[in-house]
Amino acid sequence: MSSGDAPIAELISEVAHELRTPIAAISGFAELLRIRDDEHLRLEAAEQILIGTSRLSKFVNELVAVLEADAELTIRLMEARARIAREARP
Amino acid sequence: MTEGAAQRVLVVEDDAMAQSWIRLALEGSEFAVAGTASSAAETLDLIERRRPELLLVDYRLPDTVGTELLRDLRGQGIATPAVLMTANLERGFNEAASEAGAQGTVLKSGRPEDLLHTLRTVAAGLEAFDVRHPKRDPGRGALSPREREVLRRVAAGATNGEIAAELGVGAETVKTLLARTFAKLGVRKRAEAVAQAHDLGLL
Repeated sequence: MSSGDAPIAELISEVAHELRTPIAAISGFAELLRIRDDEHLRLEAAEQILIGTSRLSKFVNELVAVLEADAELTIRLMEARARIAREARP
Repeated sequence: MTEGAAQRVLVVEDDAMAQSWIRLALEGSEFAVAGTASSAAETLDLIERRRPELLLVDYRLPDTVGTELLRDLRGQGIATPAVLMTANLERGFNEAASEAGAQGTVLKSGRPEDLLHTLRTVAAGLEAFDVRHPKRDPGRGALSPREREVLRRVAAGATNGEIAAELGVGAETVKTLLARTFAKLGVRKRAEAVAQAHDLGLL
């Protein structure tokens, strides 16, 4: 990996952390619901699962927005490059 | 297990969902949450007030990383056995945790039995490092290019602020990179890091 890849690796690690933390918690609450019969736990686990799915949903929406913006920029750059190439032709 | 026999665990975790899950996962076990710190800054005060028998520390904290917090605590003479948690599988995480003074690591998998097994092992005076973390590569591979870059600037006498400005990153990033580098090299001071890196031919 080159030194320029380090920030990318850090970013990927951050994104993975942001996704895995709520996934682990949701999975953990589901596991507790499976093995324990407790009304208090049922209410709190359900509440936390809803919070976790909402958090994941927001994060995924943000990721999609970033990817869309990135794709749009790439398309514009490709169009600009094609236009410049056309205009540069004699 | 009776209330009186409960082992008191201080949880250092800033994520509300994870805090809630840990509390519920420990309910009914021989462990009780003695308190929850959301940052490294809150941890020392809670340790002094609650006197926990175990520390359960998340790696990513808002003001530092778990290994650096543990290193600070050990430096202050606090020997409470500690388990470090992380959501990601990280190469060399067990080695870094051990060097920082942890007795165990656990991956945030959401399985209460994993957490309880780790806490029970460490409470019994043994070590419990999560084998799912890949082992650290020996020698040069232990430091990433960016970590070596930071270390080279440290060797040249630059401050964290100067390194941050030179690399175009935040001061917190430099702090994190240095903490990782120190952990990988098994040192606690900048001068030790530079000397160790020279010895290993990393600079």
